[in-house]
Amino acid sequence: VIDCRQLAGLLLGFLERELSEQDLGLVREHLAGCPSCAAHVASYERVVAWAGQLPRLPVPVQVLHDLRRAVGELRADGFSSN
Amino acid sequence: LRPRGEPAREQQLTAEQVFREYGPRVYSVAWRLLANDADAEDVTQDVLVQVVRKLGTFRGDSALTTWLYRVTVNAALAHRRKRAQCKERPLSEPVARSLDGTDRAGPVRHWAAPPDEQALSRELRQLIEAAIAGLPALYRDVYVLSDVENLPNAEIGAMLGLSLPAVKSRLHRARGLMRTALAPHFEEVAG
Repeated sequence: VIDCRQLAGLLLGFLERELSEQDLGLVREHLAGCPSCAAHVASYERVVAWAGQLPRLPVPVQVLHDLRRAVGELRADGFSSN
Repeated sequence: LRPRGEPAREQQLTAEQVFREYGPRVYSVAWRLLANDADAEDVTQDVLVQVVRKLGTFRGDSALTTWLYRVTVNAALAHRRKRAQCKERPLSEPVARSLDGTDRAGPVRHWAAPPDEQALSRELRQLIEAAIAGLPALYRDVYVLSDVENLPNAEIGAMLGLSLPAVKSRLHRARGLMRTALAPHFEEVAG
């Protein structure tokens, strides 16, 4: 059985899914009996999940306008991009 | 089979297709790394013009995507270095007050609320974006590329010139900082 301090040392490996079966068992055992650490890990995982749900941002209209003009200038210089 | 929304690559992309398919990716990475609208716009324009110029040299979408990230990150880091003082995107007052913990009267939610309550609302997105912008740059870079863009740690290390352990260490620290920044808005559910 490991305590909260020892769990902290294994946390990065746990979250990166890089622990050995033995260490994984120790972490799971601790989390099952320690609501505080379980809540901490859950909130950490929630932060990771939220980041992955952030939407891509649309390119501002003015930037698109400038890009089209820049590509037009490239074409005028003899460049072809179809 | 190919990923949903991805066009076949038998034919070379047009400039308009590049802007539509890759523009939001480039702009999002630049905006989150630089935390500044104007700088992100400059980087986006530079990168997409480069892409259009080099379109004929790519073989397959994965090669283009990998190259795109590298060029975008390089351009963003170069832009940041050029700035004597990095202009951070100003936060709206409510978000700023929320982040510095002076607004404790806002809604408090459970970290582990049911999944159907966890879709990112506009308010939550604002909080997360502001928390990302508030990260120190060395942590923000790794966090954005890993947890937002879902790039492999080894690839992130190659882009940023970091060892794999350094990437993991910064990522762990960044996630902890994000958790700390968002914690005032949520309550623990532990007994």
